Amino acid sequence: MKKRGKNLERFFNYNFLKKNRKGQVTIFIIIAVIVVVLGVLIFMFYPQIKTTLGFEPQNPYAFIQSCIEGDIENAVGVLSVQGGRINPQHYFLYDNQKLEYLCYTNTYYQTCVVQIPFLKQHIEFEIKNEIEDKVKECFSSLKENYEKRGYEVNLKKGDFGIELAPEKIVSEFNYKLTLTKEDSQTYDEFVVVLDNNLYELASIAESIVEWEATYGDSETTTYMNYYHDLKVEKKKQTDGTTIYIVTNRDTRNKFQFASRSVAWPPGYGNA
Amino acid sequence: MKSKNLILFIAMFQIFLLINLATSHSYFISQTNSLDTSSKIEEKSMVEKLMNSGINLLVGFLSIKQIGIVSAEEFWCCEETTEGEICRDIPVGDDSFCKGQVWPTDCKSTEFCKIGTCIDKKEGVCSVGTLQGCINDWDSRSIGEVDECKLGCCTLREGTNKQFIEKIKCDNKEGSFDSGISQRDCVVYTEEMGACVLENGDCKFTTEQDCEINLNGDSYPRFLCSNPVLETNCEASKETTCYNNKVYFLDTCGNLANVYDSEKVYSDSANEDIKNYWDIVQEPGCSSVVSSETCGNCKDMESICSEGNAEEGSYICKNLNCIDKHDDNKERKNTEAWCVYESYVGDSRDVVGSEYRVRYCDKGEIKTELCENYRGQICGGKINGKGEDSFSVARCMFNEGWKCYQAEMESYEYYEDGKIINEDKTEEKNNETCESISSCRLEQVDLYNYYDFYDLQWDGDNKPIDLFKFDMCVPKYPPGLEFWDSSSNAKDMCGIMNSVTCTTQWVYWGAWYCKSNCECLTQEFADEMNDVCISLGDCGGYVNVEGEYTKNFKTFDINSLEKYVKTGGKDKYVMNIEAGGAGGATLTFDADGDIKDEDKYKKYSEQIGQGYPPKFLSSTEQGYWGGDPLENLEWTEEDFPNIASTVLTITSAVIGAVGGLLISLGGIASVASAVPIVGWIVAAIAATITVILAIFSACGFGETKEIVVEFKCQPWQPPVGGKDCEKCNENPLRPCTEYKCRSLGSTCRILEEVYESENPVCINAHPYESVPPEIIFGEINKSFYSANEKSKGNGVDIRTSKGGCIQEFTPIQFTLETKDGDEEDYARCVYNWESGFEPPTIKNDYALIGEEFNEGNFYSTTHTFETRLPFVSSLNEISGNLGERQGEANIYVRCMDYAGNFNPKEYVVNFCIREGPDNTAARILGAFPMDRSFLKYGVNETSLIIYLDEPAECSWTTGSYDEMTNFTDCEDYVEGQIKPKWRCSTTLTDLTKLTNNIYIKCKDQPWISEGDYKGPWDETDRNENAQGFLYTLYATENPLEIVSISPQGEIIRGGETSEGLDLEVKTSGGMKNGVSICEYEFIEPKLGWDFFLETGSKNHKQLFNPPTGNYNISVICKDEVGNKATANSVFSLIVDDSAPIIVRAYKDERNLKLITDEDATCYYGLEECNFNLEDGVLMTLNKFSTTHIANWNPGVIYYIRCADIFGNVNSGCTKKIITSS
Repeated sequence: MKKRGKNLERFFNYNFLKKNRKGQVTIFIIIAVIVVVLGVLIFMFYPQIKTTLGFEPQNPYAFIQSCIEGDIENAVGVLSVQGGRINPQHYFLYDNQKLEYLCYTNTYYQTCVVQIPFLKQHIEFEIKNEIEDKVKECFSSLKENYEKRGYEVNLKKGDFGIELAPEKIVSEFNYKLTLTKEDSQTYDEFVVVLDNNLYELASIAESIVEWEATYGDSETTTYMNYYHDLKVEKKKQTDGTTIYIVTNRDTRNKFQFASRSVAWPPGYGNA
Repeated sequence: MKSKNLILFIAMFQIFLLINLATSHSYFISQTNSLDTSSKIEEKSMVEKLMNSGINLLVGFLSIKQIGIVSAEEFWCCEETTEGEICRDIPVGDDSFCKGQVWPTDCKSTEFCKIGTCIDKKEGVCSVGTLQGCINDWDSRSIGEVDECKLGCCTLREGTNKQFIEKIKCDNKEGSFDSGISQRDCVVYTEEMGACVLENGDCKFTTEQDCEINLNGDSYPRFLCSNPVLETNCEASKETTCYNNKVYFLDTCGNLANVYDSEKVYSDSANEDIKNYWDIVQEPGCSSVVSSETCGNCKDMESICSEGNAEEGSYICKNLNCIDKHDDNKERKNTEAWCVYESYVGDSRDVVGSEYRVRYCDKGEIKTELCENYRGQICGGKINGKGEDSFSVARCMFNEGWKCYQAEMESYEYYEDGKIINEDKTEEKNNETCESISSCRLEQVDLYNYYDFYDLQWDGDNKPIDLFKFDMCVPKYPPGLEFWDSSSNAKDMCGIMNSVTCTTQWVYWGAWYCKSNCECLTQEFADEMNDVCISLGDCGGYVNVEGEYTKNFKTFDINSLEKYVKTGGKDKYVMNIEAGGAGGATLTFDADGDIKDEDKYKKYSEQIGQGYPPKFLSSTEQGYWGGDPLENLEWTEEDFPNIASTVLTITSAVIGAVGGLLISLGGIASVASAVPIVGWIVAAIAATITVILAIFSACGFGETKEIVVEFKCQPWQPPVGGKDCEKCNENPLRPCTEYKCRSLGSTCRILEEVYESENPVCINAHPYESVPPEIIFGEINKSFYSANEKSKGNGVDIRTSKGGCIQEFTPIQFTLETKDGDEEDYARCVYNWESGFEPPTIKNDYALIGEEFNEGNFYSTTHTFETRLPFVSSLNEISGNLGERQGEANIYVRCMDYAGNFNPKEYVVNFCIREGPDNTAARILGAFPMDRSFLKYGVNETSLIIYLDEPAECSWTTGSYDEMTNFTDCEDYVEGQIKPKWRCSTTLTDLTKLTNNIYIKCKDQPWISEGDYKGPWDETDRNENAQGFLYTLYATENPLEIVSISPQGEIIRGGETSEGLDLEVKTSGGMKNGVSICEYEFIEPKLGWDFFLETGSKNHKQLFNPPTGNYNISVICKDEVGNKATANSVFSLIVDDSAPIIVRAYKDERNLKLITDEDATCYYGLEECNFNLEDGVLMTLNKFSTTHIANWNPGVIYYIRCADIFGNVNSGCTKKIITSS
């Protein structure tokens, strides 16, 4: 014990410290480097971690982004593999997945009827419907958050829109938030941006549907000639349905749907 | 101490700061550097390529024959179903699942379900859609015809951005639209760009317009920012990036430089060549490569710019080509495609279960796609180029084999009941027609080569007569069938040829000898007929992909002949059947004939890809996408009623010949009587011969009989069992399909769980099945009959409902069911009127010998028996007095399930039959042509075939019952032959009214009136229907005519013929006031007939995109009854792509007057040539004219610009005119 105490005393002995200054500096440097590296790593791989140090609440834009983007991603993920619908009504069951018919006829030999014209707008509408409740929830939560922090919050609710854009999905919320505490700050035009190729995939899907409706089939290899990062697969089913799977090779985003056009029964005759 | 604590405190504080500064700085940074919340889309050129509705069509011309079929079934149209489906055809009256409005017509006939184009002007997008599904503007034209929806290159932001989008979207973005630029060329190339030097030495590599307008910089086209002359902050670097699918150098400012070339990396000691490479835009220094770490000039289509280990920078050209491990590691270029076959192809020899696939190289990965199931699509391929430059192309194409059946149906217009009714349609012409259809071929049956077996007879032209021969137009690639499903059309498809018969002639000389058409009794006949059978589809005796043969036809078995003797040095067929009796017998179901060599078909399963693969068709060629069949495709045997008449038969008049001999002998005798001695001798000889012949005649010698030999073509059935099921799963590049799985064995099935998935799995669904099917009695009409089943599986006694015997010749129908315990068991069943036939075993390839139930050779759980009970007189044991006799008859039933298990003890159905009068008249079951059909225009007679439920003699009249005409030919009853229907045919004449009512009466039991009838009934017991059957035929009032056809004459169009030209035809008259189907054919070059894209009504339209030239197009329109109209469209297409020329300019009073060489609108300006037309002064009074006037101002220079109707304008001035002072 005494020895330990002595050692400790020795450690904090000024002379001891003075003599071992280089070692001190070395230790500080090492610790600093470790701390910085850790910080960088955390920041890189966990960007969602919001710092709670400091005395200002989280930025409202960031709050909404983090609150809603997960739901948008989920909605996109669901409808992408279901032919653009959250709840497919008229679908083909493929690999236990319901794939909406974007073009369909129940007869043989005839071209199909496009079931969903303007696919892009339809998808935007589906996403909007799906996240509507969550949007309200997020803004309510934002308001509460600030009120708890002693702010006077004025939240003017508005409409919101989803837009599929090249390599992005942009959600714009026409909400106006005014925070007052000592001074007043206004936040409007909340925008959430998600990286996703759904715009491109839906465009290809529309083109395929156009061919199916006009000619009864489509030449998928042509798309891949023009769009080097796309993979377009076509799977014929026994009842005349064709399953199309459009995949971005880099992001692995996928859009798949069903079509039934100019179906031929076995042997040409009416079955 | 104090200082120690202080130091300690300082140290701890420092540590505290160190830790917190890192995180707090991070926090501050995050708060000040706000998220990119801008919704402005940054458009990148690579991304631009991805925008929008796809591709610039490979060619502008696509002839797709998607025409509406004439459907026999009527439909209503449901606007929207409960499932959300738009425009669904529903059965008439069945609107239970319709949410929206229901319309009493099919959807195609409605306006709101017509396919057109939806246009969203606000968003600037177009979509194919129906009026019903479209909430925006809707245009009835197809999307390719709507100007606003046409795709083209949109130049935005003064050329800095290009997007391949619709015109309407380009207009919304206020861009400049050009439809003439392809998608591939709609990019901003670096050659158009240059250095844009900004203040402070900054530089951006962009277009001149962007630099001057947006950036306010100094533009140096084709200069790179790293050019030292420009004195910018940018220098050469080793960084690279991807742009336009090539690897480019970047400078230190991040601007594009030239294409990456490791030999052009800049250094201070670099040579001039390298330095120049960093000064100005240049062509790539290295040749295009497929894969390289040193050169970024990626070869288009075969290579892609991708991240990788480059010698410099981070990007390389990555090889997109493939190595085909399944084909000796053959290298395939990216996008190369080739066909994959599973058997011999073409020549109508595709084996059962085989399908067509297209395989292609997709960026380093080999993919396989199945063309349509059941060979609904075939694969055509070809190789372009040679050697290293060779490139394989292939694609799936619709199988147009249905055209062959159509051609076959139409060919029977020429020959009917022995009479040529349309001399234009000779047999030669029919054959030409068939062979002119690319997807068809002629399958010929010609037994000429087997003439050694019998005596040939010859006609005056030295051609053999009495020789069985016929042709049939069949598909080169026959369709696959759902051969396992009795409700499918497999039976009808295979049954197309079942009405082909061969009538043999027999004469009695102590035994029955075959006299003519005897070749139809040979195995060669079976061989030849089977070859036709397998050409129709999955029919007949043929093999599957594993080479397993099964026999699926019924024909005469030569071994069933009683004797086979040699007479006079030649082989003769002899049959010991009862002499005398009227009519003929059909030799089909009495025996199971076979072909000579089943193994000859095995090679077709082994010669994979050999034969006649389909020809590759480009998208401009007919047949690329195929088309839907023209007519109602529900073929049955009745649709081919005339085939039976094509076989020539000779009625052997042996007795007549004998009679003639007698007459001539008598004549000789009477002449000879004038010469006493000679006369006596001749008379004696004649008398002797006469006596001998009389004795022969009394013994039945010389009597003749006709026996009809049939070949019944049946749907193909798989081999019994499931030993090959697993083979379907062996090749991952050829995933199993239900069609192929089913073909491998009767117990092979697709596993339920993976039915609709990427990789279906085929299994043996009954691997351990060993219990034979149990036969139990099913149903019978209990109002009339009763069925007392014996102990289970033994049989049943059928009697009247009161337990008595059933009257002879009564039609009777009942069902048997096969079960396995309590569950239904699928089985094939046969019956015989005698016991003891060989059961199906592996030794005889599971052959089921006997008559088939109504289900034919399909596996079923219910087996329907339908027949007329035999006459008592034909039974073996009879008791009772004439007129009241009775006897018993049995049928012996045997069934076999999927696994080959059969009931060892036959199931016996016992009938007790009594003699009795037939009290019911014959009924007409059907007619051909159908009742209430139309006659062709100008035709006042037609053949008629009616089908009766019992043999009868029929007559018809259009007037009084006193003036009835007999049918020319009615099938007689043949002893022992029980059929479900009997046929009567005749020719109806004098059909001159608009509505022709024909009354038909039939009298049954015709044998009662025959001289040799020995039964108890007489003429009064024959039943005739008191009320005649009414049969109506309508006349076509007006001929079918083409009232208008366009284009005609000279057509002048402007610029490139990017817009299509419509061939339009209007028809009237005919059966339905103009409703018809029209075809067209280019006479030069001759491409063959093709259907209009829009037809099936009175208006017919076909879109073309022809280049300049002269055209002559034949058009033929036909309606359902064969009324035809023809016309030609003759026109010259001239492209006017030149601007108007001023041919004369002069002063006219106080005006300057100009004359142009074509109608134009002219303007003048006074300052320069390059003025906008709208800014000029108009010189033309009417919009377009050849005369243009302006005020004469002396000493003025008039800069003239003119535009013609097609918008052709000179780039500069049309003319510059200086007026004299």
